[in-house]
Amino acid sequence: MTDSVNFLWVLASAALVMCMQIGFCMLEAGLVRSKNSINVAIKNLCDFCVAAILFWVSGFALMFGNSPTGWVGISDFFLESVTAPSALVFFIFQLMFCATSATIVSGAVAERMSFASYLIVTAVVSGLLYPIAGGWAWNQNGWLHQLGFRDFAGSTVVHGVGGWVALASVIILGPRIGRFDIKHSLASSHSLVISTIGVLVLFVSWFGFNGGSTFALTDAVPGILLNTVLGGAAGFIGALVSVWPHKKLPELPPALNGCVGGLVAITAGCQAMSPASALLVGFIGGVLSYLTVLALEALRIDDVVGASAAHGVPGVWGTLAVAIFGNLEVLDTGLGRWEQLGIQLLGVSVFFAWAFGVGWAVLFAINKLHPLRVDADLELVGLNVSEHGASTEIIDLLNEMAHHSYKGEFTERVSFEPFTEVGQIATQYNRVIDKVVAEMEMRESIARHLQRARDESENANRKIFSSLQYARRIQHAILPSPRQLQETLGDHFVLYEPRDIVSGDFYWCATVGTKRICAVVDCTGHGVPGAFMSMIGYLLLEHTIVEEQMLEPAEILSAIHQRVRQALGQNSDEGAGNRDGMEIALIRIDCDEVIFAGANRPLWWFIPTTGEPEFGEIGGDHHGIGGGALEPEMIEFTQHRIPRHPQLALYLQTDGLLQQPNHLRAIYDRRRLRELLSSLQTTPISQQARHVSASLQNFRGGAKQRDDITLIGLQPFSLPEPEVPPSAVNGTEYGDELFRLEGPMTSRAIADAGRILRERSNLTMQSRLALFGLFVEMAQNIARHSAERADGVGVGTIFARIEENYIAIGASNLVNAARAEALRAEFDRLRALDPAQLRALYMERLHQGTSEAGSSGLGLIDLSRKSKIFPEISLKERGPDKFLFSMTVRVPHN
Amino acid sequence: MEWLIPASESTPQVHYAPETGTLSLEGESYPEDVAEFFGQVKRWIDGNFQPGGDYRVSLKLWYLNTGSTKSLLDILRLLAAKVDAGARVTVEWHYIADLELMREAGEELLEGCRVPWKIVPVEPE
Repeated sequence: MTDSVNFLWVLASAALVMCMQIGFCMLEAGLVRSKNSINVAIKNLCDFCVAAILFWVSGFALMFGNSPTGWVGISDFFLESVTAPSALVFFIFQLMFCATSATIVSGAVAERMSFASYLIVTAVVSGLLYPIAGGWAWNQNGWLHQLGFRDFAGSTVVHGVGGWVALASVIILGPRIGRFDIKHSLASSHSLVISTIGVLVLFVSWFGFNGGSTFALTDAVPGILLNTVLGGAAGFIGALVSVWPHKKLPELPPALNGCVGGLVAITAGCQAMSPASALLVGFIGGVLSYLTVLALEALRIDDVVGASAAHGVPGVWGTLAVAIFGNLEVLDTGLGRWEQLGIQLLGVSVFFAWAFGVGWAVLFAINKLHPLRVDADLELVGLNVSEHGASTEIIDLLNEMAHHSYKGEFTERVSFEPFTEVGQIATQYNRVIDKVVAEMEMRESIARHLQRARDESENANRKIFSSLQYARRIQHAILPSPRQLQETLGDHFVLYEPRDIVSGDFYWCATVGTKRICAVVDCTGHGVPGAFMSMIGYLLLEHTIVEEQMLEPAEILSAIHQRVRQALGQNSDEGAGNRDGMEIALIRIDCDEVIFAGANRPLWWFIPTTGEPEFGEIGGDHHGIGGGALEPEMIEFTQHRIPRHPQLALYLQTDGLLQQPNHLRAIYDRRRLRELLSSLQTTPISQQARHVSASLQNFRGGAKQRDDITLIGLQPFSLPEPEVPPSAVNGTEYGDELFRLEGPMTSRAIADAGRILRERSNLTMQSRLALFGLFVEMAQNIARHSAERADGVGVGTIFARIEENYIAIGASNLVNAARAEALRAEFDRLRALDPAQLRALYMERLHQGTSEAGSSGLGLIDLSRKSKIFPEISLKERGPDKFLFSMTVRVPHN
Repeated sequence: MEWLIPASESTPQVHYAPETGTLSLEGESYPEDVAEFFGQVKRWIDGNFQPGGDYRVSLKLWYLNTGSTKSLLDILRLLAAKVDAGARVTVEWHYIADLELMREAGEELLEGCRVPWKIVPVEPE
């Protein structure tokens, strides 16, 4: 073939390679966001122009000039002695390669590298890095070439250099703002269509890139082109089948990269491989490009278009594949396959070290002198505007909208030409603005309306509320004061939680004579109607118990029942529809027992034992008070008795607590309360309310209170004896009774009374101990010997009082005639003895016999000898075989 | 072996600590059934105080009714018999300093007791 045909082929190939600039320009411009598209595009043109001039100035000389050392060419700067047409054709073809190598970087550093910095980098790559390293491989004297390194069309020489410099650049630049932000991923490539066309252009250009590298239209060219096509196609497929299963989607950008990767991979050995090998090499190149993308992502390296993935790594693979799949005869290096592989490995390593290492050092130095990266705000605006002042309609529209949102001004409209896309967006935006304005006006008018209505209803509410507050003050005035409660009930707590401001629940207590009475009342309804009923209930309790002195709980309830019916006219035909009434739990506390009657309300009691406290519930009668047609006119209620126990705890309640639901509509229920109270029996009763209240709050959660809640807990036998004025002990006032115990002298009564006596703080310890001893002795005498008996123990009275010179403690009980006679004789005998003799008699009797013989008689001697003056004794006849025996012992104050 | 009867309202706590050989009664004593309460103490002493053993009986009793006093005397007699049988026993009566009645009760109880005894004041609690 003639030179002219070869010239034509190589020049046409050069033109095709130049078309790579178009391909890269489109690929990169499409992959970036639109705000940077112009910047990327202009970089592509610019690097070509810079590379062209520099390659003429020095690049060609360094690469292909006379290279005596094999390291760098030193002749033919400015193409000095290159004048032959064939040499110029060669120059033109090589110039295109140089520009290609340089332009690869532009995509990687897109969207953040300043334009000026990019020009410097381009100059360094095309003027120095590419030509020097290229000479090693392609200059006939190049040291790598001499060793047998073969890279037919530049997998390593062109694409490797470009890819590795790109990698060094993006590492130094750092990722784009927001690239690895997990919450907000960056907006995607603005036009994959353009990118795809770009790759197709590249594909076509590769015909020249590989096909022209023969520098003649030889028989090898068709095979080369076939391999090129197969490599690129397989690369695309390789990347596609990698990304598809991994991302569950055939994503386009990795596939585009794979196509380029396949083309890059086949470039080095396309002249020396079978089509099948070319296909495999391209396929692997495509797979590698995708794996590289994943690796970069994992390393948080932001290569915008994946230049290092598409050019660097597949380039390495393709160059190594030359040794693996290449026809050694075609390669003609005289090396065996393993030796060839070693040389290829050396080559790619040298190129990596050079392009990445030196490239990194140079970029690092440049970055120090002139920052490679634009400022953050410029990056955010986009390089189109910030670097080139190249705005677009859409940017202007966005600016206008931003201005609106910044000012909060929505009445202004934006103006754009109506027949462009942006104009249509603007028109739609204006419609939205109009709608927003109309909507806002409507809402404001509704809000004004609502505000007026609310003001009015608030006024009305305030009136009702203040009236209810006043009613509450009245209702609270009928409740007993804490002091009154303490005096009547002993240690106690009250949990009183009205549902509304006024309540249908109330509690009441009074002391009538020696009887202490307490009631917990739940009137029908709550709020205002309940409160009306509560006033009726209160007045009837006061009237029946305090004024009429009706003291039997069952009778009280029966009477109140009738009176409520009367008051509400429930017995007449007119009032037949009225069913209001109340439920009452009522107790009377006597000195030795509690009497309870209940109208639909129970009484709970606990007595502590060593294990679980003993618990009981007395149900009360299943009748309410009043109730209209629901209840008979007359009801006989039942009375229940609970004997005295010092630690007896009683609980009276309305049903509000037990019926309180939680948000799941489960009710608090008796079991929960019972278990809580049971666990609280070791807690002082006055502190139990806190726990119950906390438990209720905890249970109720967000649920509304359903009804009024009242729970009273009391220890009826915890009451201290009446206070003695301290002055009485000093002897200035005397006659005050310190203490009195009447009734059966059970061991429990003795223990309790003894404790009260002993704990009287206004007596000295010595007096307390003395008094206690005398008391126990007297009480046990009564228990054993009294003729009046209850529950198997004797009944009697013991009292103590302060006298001028002594503390007197007296006992009296009934005895039979025989016992009376024995006592009279005994005291007559004892009265004759002086204190020393009394003591002697006591000691004698003490040591006489064993304890089993009993100690009766000893007690009387002990009492007599301990009395400062001989005991006052009296025996009065009270009936047939019945005498009242009294004895008073006196001990000094001390 | 350790032994404990918790105090009740009318009976003292009874406790035997084997490591010191101390049997202590602390509290007050006026049970309804004196014989029942002191009977068990007596039976225990009878079964556990061995000849050759070292024992201390510590009494800290605020109040003893006459029945209890009599029963304690029984116990002192039993202790005397144990001493005769070769056990070493001492009885200590503790009283709160300044509480004459408590001291006197101890003196009356221990008067003529054949077991070695002493009366020890303790600080008020």
